[in-house]
Amino acid sequence: MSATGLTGRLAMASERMDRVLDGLKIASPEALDGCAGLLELACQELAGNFGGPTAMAGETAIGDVQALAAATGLRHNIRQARRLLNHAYRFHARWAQLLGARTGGYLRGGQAASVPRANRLCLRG
Amino acid sequence: MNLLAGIDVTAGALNAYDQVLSVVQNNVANSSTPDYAEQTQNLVPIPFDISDGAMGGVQAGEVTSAQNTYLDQAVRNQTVLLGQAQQGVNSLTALQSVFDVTGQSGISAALNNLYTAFSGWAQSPTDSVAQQSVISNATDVAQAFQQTAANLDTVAQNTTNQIQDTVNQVNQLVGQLQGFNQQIMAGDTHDAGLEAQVDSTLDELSQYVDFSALQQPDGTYQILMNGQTPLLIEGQQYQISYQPVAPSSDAAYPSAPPTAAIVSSSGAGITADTTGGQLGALLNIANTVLPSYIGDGNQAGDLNVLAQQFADCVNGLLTSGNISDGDPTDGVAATPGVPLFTYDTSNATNVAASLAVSSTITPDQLAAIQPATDTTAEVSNGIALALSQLASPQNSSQEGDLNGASISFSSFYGELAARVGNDLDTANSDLTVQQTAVAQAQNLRQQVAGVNLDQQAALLLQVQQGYDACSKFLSVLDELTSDVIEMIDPSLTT
Repeated sequence: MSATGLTGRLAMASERMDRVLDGLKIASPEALDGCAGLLELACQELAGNFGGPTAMAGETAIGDVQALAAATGLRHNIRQARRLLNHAYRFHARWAQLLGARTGGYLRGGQAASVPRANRLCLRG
Repeated sequence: MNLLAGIDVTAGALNAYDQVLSVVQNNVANSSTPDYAEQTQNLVPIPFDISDGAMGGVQAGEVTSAQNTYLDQAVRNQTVLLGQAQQGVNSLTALQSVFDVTGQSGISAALNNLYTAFSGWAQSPTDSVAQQSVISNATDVAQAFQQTAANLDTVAQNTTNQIQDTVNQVNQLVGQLQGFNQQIMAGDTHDAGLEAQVDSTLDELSQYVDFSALQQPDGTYQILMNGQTPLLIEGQQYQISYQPVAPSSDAAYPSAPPTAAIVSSSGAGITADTTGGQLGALLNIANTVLPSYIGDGNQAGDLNVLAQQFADCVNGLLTSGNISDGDPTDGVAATPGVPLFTYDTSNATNVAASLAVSSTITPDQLAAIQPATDTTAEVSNGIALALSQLASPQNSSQEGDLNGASISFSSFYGELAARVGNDLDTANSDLTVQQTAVAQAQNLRQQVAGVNLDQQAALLLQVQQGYDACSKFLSVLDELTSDVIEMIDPSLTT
């Protein structure tokens, strides 16, 4: 794989990461599902379809400044995505804890009760 | 059910539905009000029991705001971080402009020019033009240090002014909230317009400081800065204030510039707890970033350390040399060298600002001769050569000491400039993330507001699945990217 090829793949993965960041901004369950799909594709592009990163070890990409810049930019976006993902998850988890405490009180260990789910009764005559 | 009871129930229901219509009308009227939260009217069932005459029906319950405290606080928490990141970028951008890293101006260029002058002088140690060039370029170096110190002082002064302005802004916004509390205490409860004003003011406040806003049972808001310092309780405001704090007389550097302190209305210091929002970022610049360059009670500041080490190194070499040879046969002693640089020796935090070329030195007093020792012969341009080697040091006596590491003076300066550059890169990165994080928190608030408990539990399960999948793929992608980076440039480790 040439350095240009690697740079191209990194650029493609970066493009997907941009869409992941857009999805994480919405952070709905549907958006998160979409993000997971995009991330899976990015992983495949970077490794799976090309025989893994070790196959690139002997490639001409070594020392390539453009490829390095693209990879560094990609890693930067990955870490941003991780922070946003953690924000979203903490938001829902704390909200669920609060709702649990308000609706079910606290358990013996001091943790909030889980959010009660209504049981529905179906009668057939 | 008797007729009167039935009429009562019907009347109650009509009254309740009337209130529902009133709330709907209120929603329509306020639909364009910023931060207005749609409200719903709960209809509460009345017990129905023939045996004790309870006739059932419905009545209007408490008006509940769909804008939950938690959801608002979640958005404000991100806004606090956004304000902090934005201020960090602004302040560090101003600081970065003080350090020229291109080598075209400032300390970096002045040092290079002086090294060139030393080199020229080493080639012609007795040439008056070469000697004058050394004096002239040494003056430029001293002025470059003075200018950089003055520019840092300006940044420090601007930061102090911004801290004072921010404190005033916080007090003013809390004053507005105090007015809203007084309206609420006077009976103006459940006013959606007023609630919108409160929300808007709280949103604005969150740019400046970290706080929690708790609505009390009587409808008033209690504001606690950093979660513990009261700013507003019912109708009483507690103002914060800014105080410059000079180092104590027994500090390591008692003449150092003052640091910034924030004090609560009770006189308690709350600086250490104030880390969020614009105020937190400004305090970080004033009390951590700037002192690392210009000093405080505990440190001299790296710019002063560099100035002093450079001046001492040059002076040390010159005073170890001779201006002219002596003649033992005639009983004429050699003329020892004199220092080139002077600085304020009484205040280590004022070295860069006071660095100057000695007013008494003349070009022909530059000592180029390295005297003979027991093992070496005299070298007529030995000192001049050693000074020219400061550009590419041959031993540690020609280097500076940055936190225990020997480093050339040019690299020392480069490290100072790089430190600001790295801090600014991190701040820019934080700002990008925080801008997205605020938008995300606003989206999440919309998704959760008004969702019933059943849907809420299902939502959490869905989010958990999405989180797990994304988290796994992000880890793989991060690892792959790090591998790729390491392959492209093996010297980079992650």
